[in-house]
Amino acid sequence: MTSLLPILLLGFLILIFCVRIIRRSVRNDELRAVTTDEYFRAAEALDSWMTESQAITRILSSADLEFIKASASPEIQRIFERERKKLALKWLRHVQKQIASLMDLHLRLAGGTFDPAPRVELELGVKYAAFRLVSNMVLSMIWLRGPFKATRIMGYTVRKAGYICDVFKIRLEAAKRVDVYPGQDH
Amino acid sequence: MGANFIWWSAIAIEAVVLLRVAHTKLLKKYPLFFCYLTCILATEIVRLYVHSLTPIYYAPVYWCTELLDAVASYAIIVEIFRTALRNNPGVARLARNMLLTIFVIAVSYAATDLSAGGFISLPRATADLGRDLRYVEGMLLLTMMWLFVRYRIRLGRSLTGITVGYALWVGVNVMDMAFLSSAGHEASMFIRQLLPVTYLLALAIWCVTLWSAAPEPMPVATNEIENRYAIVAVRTRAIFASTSDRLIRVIKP
Repeated sequence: MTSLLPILLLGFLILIFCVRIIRRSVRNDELRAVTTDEYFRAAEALDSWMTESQAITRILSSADLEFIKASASPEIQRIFERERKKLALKWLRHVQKQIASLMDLHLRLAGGTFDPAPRVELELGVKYAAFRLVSNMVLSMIWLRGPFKATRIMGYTVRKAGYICDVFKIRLEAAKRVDVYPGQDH
Repeated sequence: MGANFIWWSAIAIEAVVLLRVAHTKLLKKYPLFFCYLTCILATEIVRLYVHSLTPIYYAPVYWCTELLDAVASYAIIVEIFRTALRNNPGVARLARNMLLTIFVIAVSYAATDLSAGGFISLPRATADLGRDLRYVEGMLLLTMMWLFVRYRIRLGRSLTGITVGYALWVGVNVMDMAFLSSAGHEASMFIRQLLPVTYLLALAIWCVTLWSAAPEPMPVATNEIENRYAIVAVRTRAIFASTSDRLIRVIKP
């Protein structure tokens, strides 16, 4: 029975992808063309990402917490921690959404151009999967233990997201050079 | 009675699909699909003929034609690959490399498996070869579908129909082949009975989606974005330059 499992899995995966292809052709939203607006929004997202990540690292640094601990009442400390927790959760969810839409844009663009390079795509795919995994872990960690306990792993998440943004930056740059002529090869 | 009904229905639907494909000029777009379906129709007729007139030869004829079907169905893989990625040269290059790698690995594995099993009888060897060909086909199809979903490749109605119908058939067939080696399993009986129904369903999907020629998806090059790459890239560079300036100012004491 164990030897059957990979083959059964293969058959099962084919059927799952079959359903996905039907679903997306019915909904048609995944297949829409990339618009200039989307492209501008992506560029703006990249712009805000760099400044936001600096700001959030500062907001979640333990220096503020130590200051509050030393100078304010326990009630103020609780309010401070609660607010920072809310902020951290909101920011992380926002980053997850932003990276997901950048990734979506990248894949839609890569599908129509002479990219993708297999090595970059593989690396990006792995990093994106790692980002998704780690950012979800950070979300639950912040939820359970507060934002200041998750600072180190948060740094890792920020680095992963930064890598994805870098790749996207290259994508934006490369887009300028792209000349797509259907049916022809370079 | 039920089996005969499915058999005749399959032959009828195959004939209808072939007629529609020829009539709607989809034949020019999907010639390999047309050849595959013609081959299937021919084998179905031969099997039906042998089954009713010389049932004693049915088993060897079945396994030989099954092998022929498995080989012919690779034409659909080529057809889907060729048509779907015509406007996506980057993904086509990636897919070609991935499919070739998977094909070589899978064929080597299947060849090792076949040679290790030894030669017992011609029907058995044919059945084993047919099964391995289906596994390889399943892997190639899965890779291709994954690429379509990942890179949001637009297939159009006809090609979606061909892909979905074919995937449905191959998916259930692969599961059936897996269970054949452990006959007597309850799931094996269920899938065995499901197989003809799945084939009829695949034929019905082909019949509906190939009934008339649907418009082709527009190539990405005609999108608005392609015409304005330069503007966007210049703007992006400006954004990065200003952000870098700000960062340098913050970092400097």
